Amino acid sequence: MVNLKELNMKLTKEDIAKSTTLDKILVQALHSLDELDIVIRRLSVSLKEWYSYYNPLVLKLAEPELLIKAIEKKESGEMGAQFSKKDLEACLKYSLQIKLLIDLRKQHFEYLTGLMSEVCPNILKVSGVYVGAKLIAIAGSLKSLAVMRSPTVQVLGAEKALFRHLKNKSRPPKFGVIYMHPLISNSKEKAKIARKLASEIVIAARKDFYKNG
Amino acid sequence: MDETKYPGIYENWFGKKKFLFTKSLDGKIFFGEKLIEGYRELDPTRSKLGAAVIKKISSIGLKENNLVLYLGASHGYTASFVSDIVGKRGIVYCVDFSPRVVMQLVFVCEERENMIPILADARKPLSYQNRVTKVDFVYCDVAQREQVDLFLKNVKMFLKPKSYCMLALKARSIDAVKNPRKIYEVVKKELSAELRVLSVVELDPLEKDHCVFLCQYK
Repeated sequence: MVNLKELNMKLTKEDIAKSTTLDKILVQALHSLDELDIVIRRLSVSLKEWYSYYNPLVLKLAEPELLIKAIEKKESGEMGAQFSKKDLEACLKYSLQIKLLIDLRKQHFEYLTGLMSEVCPNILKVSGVYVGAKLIAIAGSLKSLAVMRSPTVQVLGAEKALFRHLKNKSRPPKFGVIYMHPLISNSKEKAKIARKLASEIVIAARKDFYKNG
Repeated sequence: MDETKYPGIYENWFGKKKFLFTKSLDGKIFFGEKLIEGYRELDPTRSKLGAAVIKKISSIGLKENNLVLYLGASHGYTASFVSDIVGKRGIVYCVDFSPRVVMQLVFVCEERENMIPILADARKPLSYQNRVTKVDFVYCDVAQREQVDLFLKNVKMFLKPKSYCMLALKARSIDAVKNPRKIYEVVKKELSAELRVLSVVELDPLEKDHCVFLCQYK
């Protein structure tokens, strides 16, 4: 007779292993991308404050990449204090680490794109990498995105405003995460395009999820 | 350590505060709880069973050597205390739906001989009927809209006659706006059609808008 406990342990472990699908891995990849963005921003802000005592001109630079290039040149600017060799070296070491992180982010973004083209090629074509991955992350999985109605997809990510509208009858939100799509953020008729784009994304999601019939 | 009227549960006073304990089977801790002379502390704010004991429920219906079906085991916090109470010759079948929490439940079950993990949907008892036996006690702590329905389904299928079962009801997942007291009354009516309701305890303020029903199968 098979031990009931051993049988159940085996079956449960197999079920857990089966339950992990590619879209869950995609969601985790997106979370780590977001974390990398936050870390890079924080580190470069602290480096900028530090280095601006030596060369105040770097305060004008917005991009972390430009800041790192400026530090590699080691030019002193107007109003700048004297930095010894030790200080400059410490700055350089710090900036090199940030550069590594930026490279890592680039590689990670490519990995995410590859994963998207494997899991949901149609969503990738319609919405782009970041918006598509973010929508799947908020919905929870590709399946739950595929069974959503298009107005729901349109306001995904604007839950706070939506529930404020349902509770206090304030004006409803027109878009959630979908706003990050260049078609919407660069146009004048934002709401119309958001509605259209959301319906297209839902069609793409259904095509991706039910591709095997 | 003093015995309470509930079998397997002990109490101790530190200053003016009462703490609940169960006698640990193996002296291991799983969730960072306190371990005093082989007794594990049961936190009533984390466990609805513990909250019901603090709120003086008439009985918990759980004894040593019982077979227990635990629906909605999650990480296994309350389930590990239930396994303390039933002892080495009892069995706790822990059913949960989410793979993420069952991963951690499996780690606890590996240490405990009498806990058995099952990854299944409690709404569909047919899907795991060949993996559990008839049981002496059913405990249901599932935050779903159909929680009463699935509780009755499981009770009919797995509980032995004249045995006890317990439902920890979350009023907010049945209706987010209605007054919880009214929901309790409706649920009590639904339950008393099939079972004998022995005790109803509201868990405020330990668990907001929760209520525990102790019932006996006819």
